[in-house]
Amino acid sequence: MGSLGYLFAAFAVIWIALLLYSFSIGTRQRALEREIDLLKAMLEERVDAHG
Amino acid sequence: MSEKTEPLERQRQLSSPSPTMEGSRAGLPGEGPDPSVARNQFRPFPHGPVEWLVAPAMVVALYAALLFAPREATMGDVQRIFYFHVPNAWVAFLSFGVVFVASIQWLRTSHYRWDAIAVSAAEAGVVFTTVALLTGSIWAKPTWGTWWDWDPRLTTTLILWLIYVSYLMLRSVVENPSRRASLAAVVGIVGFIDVPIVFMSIRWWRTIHPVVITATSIELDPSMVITLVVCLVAFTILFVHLLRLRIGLELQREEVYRLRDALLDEE
Repeated sequence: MGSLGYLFAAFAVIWIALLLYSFSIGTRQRALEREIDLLKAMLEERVDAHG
Repeated sequence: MSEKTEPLERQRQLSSPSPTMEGSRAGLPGEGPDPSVARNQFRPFPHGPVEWLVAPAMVVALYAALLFAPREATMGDVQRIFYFHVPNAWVAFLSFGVVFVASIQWLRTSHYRWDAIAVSAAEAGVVFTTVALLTGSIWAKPTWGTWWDWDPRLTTTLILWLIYVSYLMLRSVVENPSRRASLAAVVGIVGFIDVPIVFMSIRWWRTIHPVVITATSIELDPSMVITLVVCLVAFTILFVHLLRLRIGLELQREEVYRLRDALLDEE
């Protein structure tokens, strides 16, 4: 592998790692948002049921 | 780093009448819990200037590293890895510095937000240290003829990575939130000792790692220094952005705990 090959490999590692980390934060964020929505709906249901 | 649904018992632990967590959730150590106060303190961040700066800063950094900086005479284009390798290492140090300060603050005040900042910075720090180790290794192959050497700088950096991976693993096995935060804080404080050791390793011991910046000079062409500064600024902005995102995640988790508590109270 030539000099440019190593340079490409290093930059690929950097961007893939940063993209994966950002994606991981986004995925966890969406899962928590869904859970918050679900819990809020359940709570409202309970409050309505108790009058 | 994986998220998992917290069992109900854990929600109970979080809302248990432990003075530490009561204070932390209310944001007022030693005073009674007031979920409304905690909610107000843990709002996710609104989009600020940092979010708008991330993409342009990274584009400018890429331009500077790949096009603006001159080709190094001895190493050739592979030397350009340096412009992203050093900022990754710098941001990793910065992350662990944040863990250190936030851990002290957690032990001092028991405010939950400090634990949220500490775990967020530790996770980002592990990511940036991983990238610094990998890019260093890729640079080493054509320059030293090997992917890895048990050089003092490389070895101490690997130890640093292991310390903070252990920090995250420790957090995943301790169930009680207050105990988890306190144990992690101790690791976060003690582990930081390795940061100055990593920095000074190439000055204290014989090493094959380049020493570019000394106390008296920078052995770089002025345009290379400009490129390095641009990349350092860009990665610092990226770090602040990722840290804000990650802290936001912890705040959402806190909201989940609060809603679960409210549901249990309704039963």
